[in-house]
Amino acid sequence: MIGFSVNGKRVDLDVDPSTPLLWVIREQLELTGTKYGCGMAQCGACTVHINGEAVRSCVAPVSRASGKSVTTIEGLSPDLSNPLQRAWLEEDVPQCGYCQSGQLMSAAVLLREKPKPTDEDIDAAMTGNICRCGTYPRIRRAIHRAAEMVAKGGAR
Amino acid sequence: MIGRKMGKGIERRDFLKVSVAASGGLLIGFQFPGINTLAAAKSATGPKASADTFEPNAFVRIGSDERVTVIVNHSEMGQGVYTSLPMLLAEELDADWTKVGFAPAPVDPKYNHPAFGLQMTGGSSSVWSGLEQFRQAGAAARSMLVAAAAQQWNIDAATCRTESGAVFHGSDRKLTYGQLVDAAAKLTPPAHVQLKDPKTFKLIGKPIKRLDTPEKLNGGAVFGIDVKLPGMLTAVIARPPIFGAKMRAFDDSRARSMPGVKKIVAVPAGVAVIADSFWQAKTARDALHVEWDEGSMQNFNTSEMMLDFRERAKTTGTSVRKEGDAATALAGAARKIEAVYEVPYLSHLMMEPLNCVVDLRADSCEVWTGSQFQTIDRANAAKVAGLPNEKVQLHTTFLGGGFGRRANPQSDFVVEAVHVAKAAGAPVKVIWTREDDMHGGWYRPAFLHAIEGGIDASGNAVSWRSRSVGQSIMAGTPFVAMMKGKDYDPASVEGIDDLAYASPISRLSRTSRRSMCRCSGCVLSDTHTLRSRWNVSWMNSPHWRKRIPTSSGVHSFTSSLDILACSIWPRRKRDGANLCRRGWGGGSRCISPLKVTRRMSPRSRSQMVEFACIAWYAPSIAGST
Repeated sequence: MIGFSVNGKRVDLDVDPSTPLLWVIREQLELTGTKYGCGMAQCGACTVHINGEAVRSCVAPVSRASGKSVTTIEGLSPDLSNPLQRAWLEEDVPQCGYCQSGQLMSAAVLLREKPKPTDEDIDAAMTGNICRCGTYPRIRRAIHRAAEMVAKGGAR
Repeated sequence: MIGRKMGKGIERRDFLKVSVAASGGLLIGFQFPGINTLAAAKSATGPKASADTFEPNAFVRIGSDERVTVIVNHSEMGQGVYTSLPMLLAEELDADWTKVGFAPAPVDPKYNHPAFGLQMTGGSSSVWSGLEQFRQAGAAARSMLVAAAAQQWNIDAATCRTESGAVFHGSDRKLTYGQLVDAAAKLTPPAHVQLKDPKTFKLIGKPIKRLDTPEKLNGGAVFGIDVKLPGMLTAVIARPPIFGAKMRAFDDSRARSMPGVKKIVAVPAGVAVIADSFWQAKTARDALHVEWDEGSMQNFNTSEMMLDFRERAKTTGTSVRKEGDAATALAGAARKIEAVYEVPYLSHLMMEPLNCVVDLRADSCEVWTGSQFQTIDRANAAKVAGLPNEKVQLHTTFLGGGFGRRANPQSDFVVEAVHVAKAAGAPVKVIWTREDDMHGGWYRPAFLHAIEGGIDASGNAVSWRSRSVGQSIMAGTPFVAMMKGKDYDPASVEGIDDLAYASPISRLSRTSRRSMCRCSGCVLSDTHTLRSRWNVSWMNSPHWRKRIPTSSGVHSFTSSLDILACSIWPRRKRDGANLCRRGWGGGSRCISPLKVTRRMSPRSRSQMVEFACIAWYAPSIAGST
């Protein structure tokens, strides 16, 4: 049995500890917002947080989450109240949308570490998240917008 | 550019022709959009009345709760059709936009593409082909709602007006669409409707936020890979390492006993491992030992193929277009350039790898997948399932990118899933790993494209000679009929046979377009169309705006000629630079992926302007349709 918390809820699972966390989240826990893109930490679509750190869940064995706190896109805020989600809405960021869960989860860590990121900070932090539709300019604008919201005392 | 400035340089008819050719040549039952669309828009069973909904036609459903659901017959793969097409309908309906939603259409002939005669999405064609279809469907619904209100008020319908989801009469009478649902459902749809004067549009042409954004920000959007059915198993397939290879034998002694594995079966696509979960299926698949008969492609390599292309390019191919005497015109040109573009095979590489869910029963089959070819996918699934088409339901999910890969004439990713479902004895989801997807073929074909061009002393293009070599997309597919009467594949000469520019320079020069258009450049184009030993397909994406490899060369070379002209004529220089800076071309002339292998006079200048052009155009890439 492997136990950890997901979006604040405790789970105990009977699962092969070498199974990538991604597939446990998607299949056992039925949280399908976290996406499979490459399976080799190259595209960022599977990004989740383990104890607040951005992790590529497609290569992280579920054992790595043991005893820890996992946050998925569903836990960022289900009602779209997170400044990043609000900024993403205002900038109309997604196209096909498949990569956006990972983009948001990476951006969340960036904003926590750098509340006022420059374009260069954003490019550096987001470079591991690929968008095949090419929404990068809007992602960058949305991160700046979210940073402004937080600075002005938006919900965080 | 074409979409943005339509009607200025390119006539609308030409635009349609170009667009249809751009689809990969699905010129089946081509007609201008709008014709017969009202008939097509009528629900097969007439208006439906249920307790609380009004379905005046196949494209809209209005509830007593005021919700307006637009049924969209095109697939949402990032290009925005779940917003743009509802906008068209809501505009004519005078709906309250905050109450408008969308639903994917089931597979039915009434949802066929008005121009292509199939239910499908591709070729940057959804909005132009749906323009009148969706507007008419909205106008028809509006007219019935107005008639219902007029009946209740016992007045002439012509004295009513509509706004934001309600019918008004005078200043004191108002009935919302939700209140009129029952009454409107009893009326007969109108035979003709009056469409709005575009000057009065409230939605069309305005920036509107996408309807599908919220669910793409909280994990709610369901892509094919997210579908889950009760009792569903997951399969991963061991696929041939070489195109055309066939499975000879396999040893599953290790894989069979691995946890979660239910069945391991040979299917036409390879060897399918069916398990409780993806990771179990994938690890067991990797533990299989499969012997392949590698077939005729085992010694094939692309470097040798490109050498062969270069040899072929020395000889004249099948004539595609001939206007005037291009050789003489080139000889007399003031400036000449020549370029050879070699573009590689390209995988579509959607972010969401291919997948398909199938629930096969004795007398029914349900399929969930991100499809761009619903009519074809359903028919192919039905064939494998041994069921008539109407017993097969195909549910279109969100597509994590399409780019043409999910518009597959053989429905490869659907057909194999039905085969797996036959063996699984339970609902099953087949998932391609990223490697499976990347190795899986149906690439955009590699091409060699050599172009020579010349301009006269005033900067007018006077000669354009083009020769291309590459593999046919249509040959060996049901679309081979498109090649009838031609010795080449129309999909392989996009931008060549329908060169959209009477003279390239005329497109860039605002100040003298009129006179330029009278300048008739000489054009000579030929091509070597090679029959495939393996499958290739069309590709579309924001980066290669046109999906057929030769069009990239055309656009790049056009730019080169334009800039060459700018360099010798100051006024052009200014115009050209301004137009480039303003994003003229809308990114559709993006040329960055090209490899320029050879360039002749004037060597240094043309190379310089070529790369300058990349820098100017690339930032304005935008999705469309």
